[in-house]
Amino acid sequence: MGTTALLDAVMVPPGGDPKTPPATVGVKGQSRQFEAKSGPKHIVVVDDEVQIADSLTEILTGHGYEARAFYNGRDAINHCQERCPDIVVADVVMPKLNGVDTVLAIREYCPETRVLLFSGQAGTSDILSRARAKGHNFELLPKPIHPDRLLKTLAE
Amino acid sequence: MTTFATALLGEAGPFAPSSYWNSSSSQGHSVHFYEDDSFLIEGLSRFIGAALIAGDSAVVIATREHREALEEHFRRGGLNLAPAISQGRYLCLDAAETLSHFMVDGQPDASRFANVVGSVIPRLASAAQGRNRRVAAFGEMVSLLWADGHSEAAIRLEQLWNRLAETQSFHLHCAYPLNLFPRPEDGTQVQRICVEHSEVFPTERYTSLETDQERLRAIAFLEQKAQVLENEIVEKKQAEQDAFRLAAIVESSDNAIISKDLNGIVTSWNRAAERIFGYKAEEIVGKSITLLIPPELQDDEPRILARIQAGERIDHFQTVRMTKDGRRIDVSLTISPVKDHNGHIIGAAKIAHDITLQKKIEEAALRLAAIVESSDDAIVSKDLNGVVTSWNKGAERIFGYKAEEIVGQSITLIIPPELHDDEPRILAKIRAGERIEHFETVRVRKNGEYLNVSLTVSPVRDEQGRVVGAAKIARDVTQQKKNEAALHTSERLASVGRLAATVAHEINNPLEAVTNYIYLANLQPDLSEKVRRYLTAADQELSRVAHIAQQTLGFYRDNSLPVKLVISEAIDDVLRVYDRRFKYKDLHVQCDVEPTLTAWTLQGEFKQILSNLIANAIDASKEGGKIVIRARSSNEYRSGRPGVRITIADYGSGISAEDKAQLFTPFFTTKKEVGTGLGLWITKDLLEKKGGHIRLRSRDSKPSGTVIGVYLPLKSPAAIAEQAA
Repeated sequence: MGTTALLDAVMVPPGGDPKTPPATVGVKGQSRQFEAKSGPKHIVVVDDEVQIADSLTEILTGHGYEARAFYNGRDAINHCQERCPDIVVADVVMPKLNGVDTVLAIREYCPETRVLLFSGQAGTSDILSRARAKGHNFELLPKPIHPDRLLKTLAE
Repeated sequence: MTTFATALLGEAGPFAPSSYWNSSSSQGHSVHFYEDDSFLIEGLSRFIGAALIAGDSAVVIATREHREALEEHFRRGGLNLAPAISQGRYLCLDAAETLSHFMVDGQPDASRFANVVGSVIPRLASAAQGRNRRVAAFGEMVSLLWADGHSEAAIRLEQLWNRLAETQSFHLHCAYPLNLFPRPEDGTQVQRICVEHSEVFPTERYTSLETDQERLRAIAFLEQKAQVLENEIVEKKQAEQDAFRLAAIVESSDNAIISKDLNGIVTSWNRAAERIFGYKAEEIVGKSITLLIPPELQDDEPRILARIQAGERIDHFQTVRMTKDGRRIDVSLTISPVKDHNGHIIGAAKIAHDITLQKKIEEAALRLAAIVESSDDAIVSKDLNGVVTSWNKGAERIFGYKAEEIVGQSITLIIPPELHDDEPRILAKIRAGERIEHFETVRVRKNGEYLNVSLTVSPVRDEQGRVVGAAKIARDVTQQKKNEAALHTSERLASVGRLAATVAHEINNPLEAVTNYIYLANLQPDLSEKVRRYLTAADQELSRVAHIAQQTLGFYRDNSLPVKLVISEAIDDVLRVYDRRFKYKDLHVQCDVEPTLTAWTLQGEFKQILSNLIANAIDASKEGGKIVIRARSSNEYRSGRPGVRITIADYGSGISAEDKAQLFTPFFTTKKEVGTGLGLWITKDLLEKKGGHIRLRSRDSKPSGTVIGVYLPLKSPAAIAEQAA
């Protein structure tokens, strides 16, 4: 993939008008410019790595999502109890409450919320297979995942 | 009596006292042996009586019994002694009393004898009325001395009488009872006595005979009897010697040798019996043999005695006996009847052999044999020529030869030909008395299979301590070796897995963050074209890092379900990733893939396998080389399961034999700086999880190259399970 294609993907905000000029792409506080009829999709990002949670949130915000970062599962669950997000993007391996348990708790309040897990290590398989055994299936993305691919997946 | 009467009447006869006395010179010293007192008295009466009747004198020095018997004899024969006594012609003295007058310190004193006896003879001679005034003397002082054991004193007394006869005239008559000379060696003494006398009269057995012929017959008879006696003496001596020897043997025997009578009473007890049973002979002789029998075996004795009484012999009867201190000992008994000279059974002789130790040894040997037989290890013995002498069950199981097949054969049967040199070296060590411990080597089974064994070989010695063979314990360590290797591998895998997981987490998280930041930076609108180019390049390099991390450390498992994958498409996808590297190295990739080939598998993992193999092929290839990729449907050669076989061939440097062995080991790499040593290991792991496998052919000499073959079942076990669910 070349740089052009990469930028093309960036230029197209999901749910937005592809013909809208991307003048203020990536700039904080200007996401409302990408307002669609149904409003921007609300995404909850959960990762104990602050850098990842923050940078992802910024990227997503820059692409017209209403993204919010949380650094542990507990805070994310509390937030979701008040407001169900459209999508949850969560790291799997986190201290205290892992990503799978976090999204399972969120789903109790928000059965409609789409869940995307991403993980960089082997422990993931075990946690996921336990969840699958209980009948929960999640989309799993490898870490590191390139923002282009993440945005593409979110747009699907 | 008749003889005496005729003698007294002076009737003639060969030994008629009258004639004897009449024909006797006035001088003489005769000796008379007798068995029966009455014979002595009869002869004596004739001697003395004839002298007195002839008017001569007589002196009798005798024991009281003999004096009284003589007088009684005279009285009954009608001889009145009173006139002779009154005339001083007859003197009667007590032998013991007379003797006491001249004995000094147990010997007859010459001068006293001369005084006492020497004074009597002349008086009697002067009183004699006969023509020749002769004196007849009877003495049995010598026989008294002899009876008291003073034989030398008796001979000496005879000599004093003889000396007295030199100066005085008298005829002395001596008498010895034959029973003074009971022993064979007394013959010499009889001869010495005879030497001191001028005339000898044998006992009545001879002298009572009437004719010369009778006497000659008697002599012949006596000679024969003497011969018999001499023989008996020799035999008796022999028998005595035999008895002594036997007694010595019995005493020195290590076995208890005991005799008992038919009531079971101990009659003899040798030294070994003392040692074995603890009783001294004096403690047990006269007591019952049942002292030795434990209470519960008391029934033994009547049965033994019954058999002995029936004349039976009991051989090697193994039983238990008790010692004085109550210990029980194992004994082997041999009991034989003892017969008297008439053949009647009078008791039993018993030989008891203490077999306690022997039993213990036997039991120990049996126990050892049982241990050897039940051992899981092969326990084998061989002689110093390497010929098998014993072979246990363990050996049969481990080596496959039955004992009867291999005993007597060379041990080299179980040694692989290439290791035949081992045997002389082992034998040399054994001969030197050395032991070989835990020698790990290879042996061959009857069916030709090789197996790993751990050998311990020890010298076997005879009673003199000479090495006569070897005992060998062989443990089959084939499985142990495999287990060790497996354990070793799994330990390494586990540690690798932990390491990889940690590293993956540590790397993947910052990679994610950096990727995001570069992405954000690239979105900045006011970037110069140059900075944008840098960021784009950095982003691409990060993608490479991410890819490598996933290939080798990722452990990222496809969460998705197995999908029906079109093999040619998957291969194209992977090849596209390496496009740039093909170009760098100017590699020509030839693809020969059935376009319709599909497999049910996890897409990510399948691609990782291909990716790893293709990356290796690229690294191995020389610049301008060729890589050939083939894929076709194929059945697994062992199970016949349908699947896909993919081969990736390069014409690169090839892999050396040593490296091949380690190729699938984690952290083994031939790529020095760039390799992680995990690619092939992960590939193999992934394939085996899918029920597939990987094969490799390679040569590192020209024409060098490597062909990797991968078999993948159409449906992995996981896929089959998924579908079933």
